[in-house]
Amino acid sequence: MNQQPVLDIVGLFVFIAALIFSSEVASVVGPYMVIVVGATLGASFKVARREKTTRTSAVLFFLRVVGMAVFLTVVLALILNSYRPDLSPRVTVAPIAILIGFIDWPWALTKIIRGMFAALDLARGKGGAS
Amino acid sequence: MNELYLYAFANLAICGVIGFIALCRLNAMRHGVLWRVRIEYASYVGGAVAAAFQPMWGEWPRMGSLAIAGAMLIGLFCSGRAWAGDVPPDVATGPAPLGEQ
Repeated sequence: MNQQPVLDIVGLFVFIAALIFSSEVASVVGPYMVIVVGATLGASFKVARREKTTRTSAVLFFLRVVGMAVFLTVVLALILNSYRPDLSPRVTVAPIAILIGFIDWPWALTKIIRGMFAALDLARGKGGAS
Repeated sequence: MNELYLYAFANLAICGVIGFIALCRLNAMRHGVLWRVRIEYASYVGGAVAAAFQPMWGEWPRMGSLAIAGAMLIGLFCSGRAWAGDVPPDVATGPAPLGEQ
C-alpha cells in the first residue's frame, strides 16, 4: 500500500474520474460509444412518444432501451455484414443502434405478424370459415 | 493528468444533469408536441452522453467544453419555468385539431 490516502474532496473526484476514464476501461468501452450515442438519440424519441410516466420509470425505460441496443447492435451488424460483405460493421452500427432505439418494437412486431396473417389469408383465398 | 481527470469529472456531472433534465422533458411530452421540440431535446440527450464520455475515445474536455456545457445547463434551468409541473408549454405544441376545440 504505497498509495497516498485521499484526503480532500477534489482528490476524491479525481479518484472517481480516474476509475471511470482509466485507459483499461476506455479501451473496452470506447468502441461501444458510437452505439450508445446512437441508441440514446433513438431512445429519446421513443421516450417522447411514450405516455407520460414518473421520472424514475422514464430513466429506467431509457436505460433498458440503450442496454438492449448495446447487446443487439453488434450481432445485427455482423449478420448484415455476412449477407452484404460490402457493408462493414463499422458503417452500419450507428444506423442500426438508432433504429433499435427509435422503433417501437411491440407495435412493429404486431404490424409484421398481422401482415403475415393477411398474406396467408390472401394466398389461401377468400373467407375465414373453411 | 489530475487536472484532466478533474475537468472530465466536472464535465460528466454537468452533462449528466443536462441529460437528466432533457430526459424528464422528453418524458413529459404528450401527443401533439412539435417535432422540432422533440429533436431539440433528443439531441440534448445524445450530445450530453457523447460529451460526458468523450475521454473514452481519447478527447479530454477542457474549459471550453465546460463553458458550453454550463451555458446549456443554465439555459435549461432558465426555461424550467415554462416546463413547470412536467407540462409542455404552449409554444412546444401544435394547434389542436378543430374537433377538439
